[in-house]
Amino acid sequence: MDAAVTVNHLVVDRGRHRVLHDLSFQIPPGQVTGLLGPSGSGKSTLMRALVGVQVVRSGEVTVLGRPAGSAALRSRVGYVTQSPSVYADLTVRENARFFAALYGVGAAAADRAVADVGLADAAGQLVRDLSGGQMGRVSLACALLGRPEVLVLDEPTVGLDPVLRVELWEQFHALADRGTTLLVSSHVMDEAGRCDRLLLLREGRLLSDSTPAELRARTGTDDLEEAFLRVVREQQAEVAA
Amino acid sequence: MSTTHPVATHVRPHAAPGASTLAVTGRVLRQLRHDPRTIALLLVVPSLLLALMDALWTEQPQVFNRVGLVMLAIFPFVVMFLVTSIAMLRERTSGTLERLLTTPLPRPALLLGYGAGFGLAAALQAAGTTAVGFGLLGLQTAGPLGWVVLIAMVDAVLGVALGLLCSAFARSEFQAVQFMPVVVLPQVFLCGLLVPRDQMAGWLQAISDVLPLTYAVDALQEVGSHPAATGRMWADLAVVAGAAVLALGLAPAPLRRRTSCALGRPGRAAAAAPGAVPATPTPGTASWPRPGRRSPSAGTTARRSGSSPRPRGSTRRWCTTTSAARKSCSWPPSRHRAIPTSCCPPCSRAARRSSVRTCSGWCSGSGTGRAGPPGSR
Ligand SMILES: Nc1ncnc2c1ncn2[C@@H]1O[C@H](COP(=O)(O)OP(=O)(O)O)[C@@H](O)[C@H]1O
Ligand SMILES: [Mg+2]
Repeated sequence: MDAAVTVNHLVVDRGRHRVLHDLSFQIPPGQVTGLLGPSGSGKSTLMRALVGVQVVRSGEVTVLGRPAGSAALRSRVGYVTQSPSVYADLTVRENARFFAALYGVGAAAADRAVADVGLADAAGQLVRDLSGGQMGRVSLACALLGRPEVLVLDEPTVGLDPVLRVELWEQFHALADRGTTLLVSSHVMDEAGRCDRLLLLREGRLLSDSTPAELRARTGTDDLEEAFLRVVREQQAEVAA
Repeated sequence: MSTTHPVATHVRPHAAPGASTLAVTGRVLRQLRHDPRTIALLLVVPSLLLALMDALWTEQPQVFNRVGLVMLAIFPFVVMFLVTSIAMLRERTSGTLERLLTTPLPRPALLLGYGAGFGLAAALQAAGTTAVGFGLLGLQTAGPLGWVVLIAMVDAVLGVALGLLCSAFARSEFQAVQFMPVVVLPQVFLCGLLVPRDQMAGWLQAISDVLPLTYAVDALQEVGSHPAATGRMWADLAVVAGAAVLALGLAPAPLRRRTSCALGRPGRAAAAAPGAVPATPTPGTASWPRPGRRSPSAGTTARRSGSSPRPRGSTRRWCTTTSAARKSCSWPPSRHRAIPTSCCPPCSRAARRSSVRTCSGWCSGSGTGRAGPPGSR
């Protein structure tokens, strides 16, 4: 099967800084791909490029066979921004129904999406009265209800308690099993093991693109955190040489 | 989770044209409904101001009659301009605008939806102010009240449309509010309220001729002095409506789908831009890959340092943080008690500037939804 996302020599500048340096990779369909890297490494920028809201300097981003951001993709690609982007002065249900109307799905689908992220009890509450983690889940629900084929999630599990985190990861895999392609970013390495594939990003450069098992084998350690370290050192040695 | 169909075979529903505009209008009105105080202010304030003017000119009712009538054009215009531009700006700074631009919602539908929602609010306001002015305060016109309300409504829609257009150029609430003196006040000064238009200097009249509020005021004055609708009133009204349509038509253009920097993203001040120094392993320390180091200042300095890696062991600073912040700043996770200040832009900035070592608990990437410092770009 063709790759869901293909990135070719992508270069992005923000302000006067080069944020992404010549990235090339592919994301296979129906899998959870993790985008890992320290804060500021360019994860959000890369995701913005994939959903077509980032001005790119050069390179190509193709999603589901079309240029990123093209009109036909907007109902097929879901994007959850890093900070929850929902309306704080609306209730959870009103938020979901608004986005449902934009995607052309009914109110019932909206209510189901709210229940799916475990917020059925809070459906009538104003979003501004929710906790940070709950807000994030509202944001997620609003992306899920469009039933996107590609789902781009920017640090969806930050600030969530461990139980919820596990639940969310289970949901991600359930979605992937049904054919959805997920790209999930994180800056904590302990989530790396939950991904089918890993992209390691550091300072706007791709350090590694492999499965967790391949990364472990290549670096000779079971600890993905340590593996990441070794990849960084390897790269530094190369630069020095 | 919401479907048992494989995604690939799923027939994708589409929002009917017009349905998404309605969805936006409904949402705008729902947001207003959750904010009763704003509704009250919208409805009551213009009437109170009108009453104040009435009190001011109790001895000269003919002055109040002239000024009060003009005010029926000015209030909805000014209020709707402000309310709309702030609402749109909030959409931008909260990130919902960027998100909307990744959904199938067409940009004109977004703007039309806004226009309709706030236009409806404006209609209520215009009707209320007119009712108070004519019912309680004794305003009088030769022509029928219906025309007055109609003109006030079209004029309010003009305010909405200009507010939408201008908000695209504002990067912060401060800027948005500043557009009011720039865009609105000259129209108020030159519309014939302070000095009758035929007594203005020629060049002022020429400017006045191209400002749409002038025509709204002129239309109201026509109603004031003629028992039936005049051709001039209709022409005036057409100009006001045309200006509103023009502004709405222009508004999608500056509302770019692709931006190089998301506007109003909290905590993304230029000063927080990275120096992207390739970290050199420091002897004797756990060589965790340090996060992209923040440069001392944006721009040239950062560029320079970007090409000259230097050991950072000596300059490393740590900040103590609340545990919540530590959790979200856990890069490197768990190894260290403290977080490198470079992990957290405000901390790193504060640490550079002074001896401040205490993190405010705000961190980039924190999932608590807390906003960063006001965008300083
Ligand atoms: N709005 C912006 N304006 C200028 N530079 C930005 C902006 N947002 C992010 N950057 C810079 O781009 C780099 C990558 O940021 P980002 O993609 O948000 O990283 P991540 O999501 O991995 O934390 C950062 O070093 C940051 O300083
Ligand atoms: Mg990010």
